[in-house]
Amino acid sequence: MKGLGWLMQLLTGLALTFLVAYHFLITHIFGSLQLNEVVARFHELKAFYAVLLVVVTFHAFNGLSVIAEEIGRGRLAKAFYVVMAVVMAYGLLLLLSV
Amino acid sequence: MRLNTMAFYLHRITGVILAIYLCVHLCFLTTVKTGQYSSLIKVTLSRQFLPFDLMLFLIGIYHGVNGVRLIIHEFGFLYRHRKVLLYLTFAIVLTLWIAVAWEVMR
Repeated sequence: MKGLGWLMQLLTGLALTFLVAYHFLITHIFGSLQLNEVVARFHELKAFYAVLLVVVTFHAFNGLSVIAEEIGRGRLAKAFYVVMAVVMAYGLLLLLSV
Repeated sequence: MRLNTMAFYLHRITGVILAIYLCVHLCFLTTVKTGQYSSLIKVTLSRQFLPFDLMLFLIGIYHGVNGVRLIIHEFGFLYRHRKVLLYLTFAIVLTLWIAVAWEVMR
């Protein structure tokens, strides 16, 4: 995996170490998973969760696409980018509607 | 199987699991809107569900820490010490996992 896809995978991976660690800390260590707290976090940290969603979805499906490419499934590799767009749109809609 | 090859395959396998988990996680969060969240979160926070949570933490921590190791090598750093860095990765993963498990189980 080289080129822009490789660079983006590397940069999003690096960003995710901080984003996911922060998400874990505020949900499991300093906060809880009770409904009212989850909804409050969605409202207070909307921008953070929008960034996390976009970065993590890109990293996940770009990674799957690379694996598909490596095992010779070119069409599946392309399909993962479509799934990526759908998951991103669904997640952002969910975030905005809560 | 060489340790480096094992680390490579583990990174791929944990990545696929985490991608599937991302979709499940989004479906789960949909219940915040549909109204079943409170009853579902009771199940996922139960004692019986704890092994799955701990496994997910281990998978996430491994993928993250090993990913940082890969980035270090991709930038051309510490390539001569890749075996040491690999052992260090496993040690950090184990330490972080024990710390997280301890914190979650308290």
